[in-house]
Amino acid sequence: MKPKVVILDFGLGNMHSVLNACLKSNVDAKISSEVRDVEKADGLIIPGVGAFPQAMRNLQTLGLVSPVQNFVNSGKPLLGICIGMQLLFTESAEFENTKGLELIPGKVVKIACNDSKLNKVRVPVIGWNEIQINIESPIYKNLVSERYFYFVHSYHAIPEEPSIISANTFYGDLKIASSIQKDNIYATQFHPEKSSHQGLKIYENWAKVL
Amino acid sequence: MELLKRNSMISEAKPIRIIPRLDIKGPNLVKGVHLEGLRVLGEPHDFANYYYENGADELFFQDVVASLYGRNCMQDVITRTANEIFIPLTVGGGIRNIDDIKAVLRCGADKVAINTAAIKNKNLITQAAELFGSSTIVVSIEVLRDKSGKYLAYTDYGREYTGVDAIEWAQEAEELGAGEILITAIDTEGTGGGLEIDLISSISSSSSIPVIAHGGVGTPEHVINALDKTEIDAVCIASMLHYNFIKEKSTISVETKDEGNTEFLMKNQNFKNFSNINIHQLKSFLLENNITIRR
Repeated sequence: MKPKVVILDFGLGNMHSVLNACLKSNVDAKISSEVRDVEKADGLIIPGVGAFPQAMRNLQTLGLVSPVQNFVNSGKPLLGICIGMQLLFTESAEFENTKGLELIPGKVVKIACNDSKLNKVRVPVIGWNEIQINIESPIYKNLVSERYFYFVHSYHAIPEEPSIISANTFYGDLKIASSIQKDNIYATQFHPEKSSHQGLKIYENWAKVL
Repeated sequence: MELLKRNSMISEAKPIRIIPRLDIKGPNLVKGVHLEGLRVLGEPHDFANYYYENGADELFFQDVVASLYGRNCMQDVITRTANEIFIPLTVGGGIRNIDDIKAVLRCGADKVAINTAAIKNKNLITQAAELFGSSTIVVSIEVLRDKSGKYLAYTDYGREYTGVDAIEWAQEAEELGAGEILITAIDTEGTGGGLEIDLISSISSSSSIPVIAHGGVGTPEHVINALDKTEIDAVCIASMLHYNFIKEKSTISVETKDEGNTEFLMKNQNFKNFSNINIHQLKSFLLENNITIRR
């Protein structure tokens, strides 16, 4: 039997795009906001587009904070995408300081513009950027050599332990964590579901660790 | 030395996005000149699939009659596209309120482009940005230059005069919460005569959010020229890519539904203003000219 993946529905973001990408990558996934589905899942995806405080409020209202934390503590693989990566951290400075899921020590801060004309970083960052892979993470297996992925964000996560940063991306002079891996936690700042064939490969690869 | 300096500067730049623009009328992909005289070119799905496999960085769909008739036929096109195509999709045309945005996003769009409703109700931009995130909200500005040389914003697919200064409106839209600006120069749109450099230069240098330029690309040199002279992040291209695709696929019959003017396809017209070039070839050309693109 194929492992069952739950795409967490917390009322935000592009979970249908993530579902489409999972199905295309032959991953058996469904969208759910039910605690018992999270508990039974073999793998959990936290998708996302949206603001951090609203995302945390929604998770609290739906009673999903502890179930997600328990899921991670059980050792089963989690994939966080964009805001789904940022939510894993201790706290975020988006709008107001907000506590996150506190699964990874670190904070989420605004992308600081470099104002030199040449490297003017426009925020939100919207577009394709190349990643530099630091850790041979299973999700990066068998990618072609040009590693461009689609990013959309105004904030970025800074882990306390730099060793968990599995890939970096440069915006002008600013080096951001474009993905992290810590034990059973995998997360990308970019959107694999919007990153063409390379992105679909990430879902396929992640499903292999289930 | 000068050239070397330019090269090293460019290599640090962020990749420029190439965005095919698909204007949709009913079930068909259409194309006109100056946003008028729309001709049916074929099935949106054929074009979308081809552009996806050919290296498009995003796709932009515009429902060209939605704001005129208040209808929205795009949902089937978007749903089908979102099931099979894994790059960002932006949808514009006829988006009037929060519910319209929700409906389009539910079909699988990643971003919405708003023109008419944004000018009529500026609060919509702020409200939508707060609900869906600013990066989901593209403010689309259709621009004509008046006799005095002033750039004015038009609404309803370039049909309605507003008197609003386009450059000031772009700045205001950013302050209201827009995540991106799409500029369409109606004077150059569909002509293949080149992008309206003064306009896109003014808007891109005065904004700090990404700017997409649209209207007038007929050759790859037009793209390079705009990238050299302005600070745009993306170029939206329709005619040049559509006509090339039709020529590449000319052996395959393109079936169209009976809405619009199909005569154009039957004639073997020579589009002298447009290069025969696809996205992959365009990107190779940009790369040779030291422009950073996604490969």
